Amino acid sequence: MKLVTLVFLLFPLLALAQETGSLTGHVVDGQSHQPLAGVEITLETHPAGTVSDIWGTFKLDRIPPGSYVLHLRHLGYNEITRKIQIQPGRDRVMTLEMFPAVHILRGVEVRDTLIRDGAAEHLPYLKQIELKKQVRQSGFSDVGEYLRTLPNIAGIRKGGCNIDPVIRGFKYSQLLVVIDDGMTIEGGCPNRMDPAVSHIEPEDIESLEVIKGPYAMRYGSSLGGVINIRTIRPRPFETFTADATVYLGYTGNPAGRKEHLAVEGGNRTLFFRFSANDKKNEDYKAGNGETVEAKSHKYNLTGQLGLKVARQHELLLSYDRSYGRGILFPTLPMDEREDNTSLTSLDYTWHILASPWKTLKVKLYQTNVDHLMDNKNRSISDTMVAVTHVLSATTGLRAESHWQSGNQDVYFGVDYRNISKDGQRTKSAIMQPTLPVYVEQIWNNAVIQNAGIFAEYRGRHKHVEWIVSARLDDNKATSDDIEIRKMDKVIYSCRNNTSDFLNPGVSMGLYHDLSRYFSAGIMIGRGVRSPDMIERFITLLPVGYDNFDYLGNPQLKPEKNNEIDLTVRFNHPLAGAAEFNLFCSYVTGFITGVIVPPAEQKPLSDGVLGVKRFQNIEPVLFRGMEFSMKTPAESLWEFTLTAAYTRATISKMTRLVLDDQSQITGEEEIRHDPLAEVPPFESTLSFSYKLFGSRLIPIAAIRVTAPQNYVSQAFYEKKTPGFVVADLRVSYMFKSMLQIYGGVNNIFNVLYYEHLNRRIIGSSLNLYEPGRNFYINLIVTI
Amino acid sequence: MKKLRILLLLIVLMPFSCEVNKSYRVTYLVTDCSSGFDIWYRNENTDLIHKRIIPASEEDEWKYNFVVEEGDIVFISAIYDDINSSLKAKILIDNKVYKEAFSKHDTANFVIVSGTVPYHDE
Repeated sequence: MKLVTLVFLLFPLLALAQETGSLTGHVVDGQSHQPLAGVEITLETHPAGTVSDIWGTFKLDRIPPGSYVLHLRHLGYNEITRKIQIQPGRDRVMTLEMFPAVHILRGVEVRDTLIRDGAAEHLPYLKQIELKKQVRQSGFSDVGEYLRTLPNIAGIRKGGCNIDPVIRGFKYSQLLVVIDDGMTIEGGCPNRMDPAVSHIEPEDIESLEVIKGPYAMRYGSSLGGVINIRTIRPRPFETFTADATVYLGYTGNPAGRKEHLAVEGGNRTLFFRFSANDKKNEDYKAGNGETVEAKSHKYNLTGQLGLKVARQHELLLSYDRSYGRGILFPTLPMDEREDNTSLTSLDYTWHILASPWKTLKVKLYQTNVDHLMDNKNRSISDTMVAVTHVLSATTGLRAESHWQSGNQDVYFGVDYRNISKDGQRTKSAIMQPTLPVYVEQIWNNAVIQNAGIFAEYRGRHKHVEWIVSARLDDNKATSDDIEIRKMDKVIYSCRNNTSDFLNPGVSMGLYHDLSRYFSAGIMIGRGVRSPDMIERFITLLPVGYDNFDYLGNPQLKPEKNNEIDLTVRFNHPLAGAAEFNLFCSYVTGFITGVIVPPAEQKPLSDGVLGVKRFQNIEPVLFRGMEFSMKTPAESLWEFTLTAAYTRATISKMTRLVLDDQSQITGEEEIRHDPLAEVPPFESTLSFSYKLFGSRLIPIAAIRVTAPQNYVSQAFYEKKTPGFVVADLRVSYMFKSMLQIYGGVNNIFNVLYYEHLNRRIIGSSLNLYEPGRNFYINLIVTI
Repeated sequence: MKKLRILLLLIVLMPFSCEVNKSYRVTYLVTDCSSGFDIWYRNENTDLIHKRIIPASEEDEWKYNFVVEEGDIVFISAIYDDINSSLKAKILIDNKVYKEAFSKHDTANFVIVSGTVPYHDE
């Protein structure tokens, strides 16, 4: 009887089970086709919901038959909505592609719809950029050169490559450059001939994140912006696979070539990627036909090995070894003779699927830079040969956990970084009878340690999204006693070289959809950064924009940026998208060089005007705007317009007064002096047209840059004339196996230089940009 | 297998290069001196060597050969005893004169010839 009762009780349930269906899906990144883990999958009018696993797969069981609306959400990606039909007793199988979103204003990840074809184009406040495509189409030789094409990002050019990025007038360590979300590199050269971005080859980059302002707190303390370089990483495959990509590029001006080979593959458990790059450029010719000495040769090898320890645990070991040889910098006192850099990291990811805790990520890394510079290509080497050898090492740890519940996300974690630097400069007086050799310490075993804790909270409700982010850093620095000698006579010494700061940073933002097509946002933040190695410990070297020896100051205080951004956006499926942004930044404790009276300190270098010591000075005010608009990518014609401007002013500065022969005649105080090295207004207009089903796309671009007349008197900055340059490029996808990109930059062979280009050392000559350049890039994938 | 063959072919075709520093033969040469003279020169080990030379006649020459790499410093300085004498110092790189200097009737100042071996792609 009990059995009969049980059968009767279970029968309706069994019948119900037979009437239900299921949904199995596979979610991948639409650009990289890598599986997407942690995607939130929900059905409208049904309580079922799940998240994708590390293979990007998911399954929803026991769904009553009928029509549903499927939603896929993932931070950093555009939401997907699909109408689906569930049949009784059948498993519906789907593959879904999600495309990265462009993130505007907030400097943090919030979904956005300005994206077209899954690729972010030249829009301000880019959060994610498909760089592989850009590199292939443009023939860019380094990351800094690519970044310069984005609105309100400029670059300091000192030679043919290794351009140092400047975002809204913020530069050097005012910008935080991280690799793969956490790794940092301390370059070797005091004159930054090897900025952090120069140590990664563009062909190895999957995407770039650029976050303007002090808003991002998760990667480290940032003052003016964050550049997060995400490299191509190996991924697991369902069955054993091995693919190869070969990239060959040739340029006419400079005459150069680049080769890239990447092999990736593996199976579900073990996966790998190996790549090699070799890039060599000769001197280039400016628009007037004159040769600019800017040779360079860089090559590197990268190996990455991934291991899926268990279903939810993943390890990735990466090692990159890069080499620079004979890289010429005609604007600097020295050239890069050799650079040997290694980047090692171990990443662990735990995908915690069954709870609000989504992921735990831990990264350990070590970067080493062995940098050799000399002045053997300078005329001064006929009397004094100087060779500088610097070793720098950065060891770090980053751990971050992600918690998600409904429309709320919390990230929190810790990071730690230890930067050490040491080096010597050897000067051989080769025109003296007994060849005396002088050895100077450059960094004196300098060490900076930074330990931070951070948290970020994001939420959204209907048409409003918000974010609150904060971090706290403990920054310590020290070095051996500093003593500088000139011809065996002590000219400078410093023994109090330690400092310890506690730096709090906070940011918050709000974004609101005002109507179907209009939205607006506001972001307020305060970023704090401690002084860097150069500002603390440099020892009488000409490392600035002007012709002075610079002296570090171990007792410098941190720099603080208080910034506000306001954005209005328009987005229409037929009309396209536009965005206008205003920002204002008030920096206190601004760090720059201040003149030291000659009686107090004599310079070490020959031919400089005097000595400047890094000091915290009066506040500096930055303000500016960015504008961008773009037609819908669905049309055959595509039109993009961007414009950007920044203006920065120092409250008060002092400068030396010079006569016509550059002799010092006195000092004067300057009020409201423009900040040096801030780019002028610029605008870029581009058109493209899709032919043969988008297989052939010609693109024309015109860049208009205004003169920069708002220049610093305190830094003897010179005005820069405006210019107009035009580029033309064509991309052709022959088959998926072969793609060809080619074009011509600076079509009309215009003679011009950017405002931020340094001048040829020992002269007032400008470092011109390359003249007309033909290039072609071939990509073969097998 | 076909894929593997194509891959191997591509690897072979790709002219990945490694930098090899080029070597040069350097010769220090001192001639045209009839009196005793002192010389200081930098050798292949980057040591500064001092020597006292007494030539038998003005036709005598002092020579030192060694091998260096590009970018290395080459240096020789000399001073002679007799005010009526002269001295010519040369540095040759691969048997071509790189730099030279000549002094006559001057025992107060050194004859110095020095420089760095040029890089081969410059």
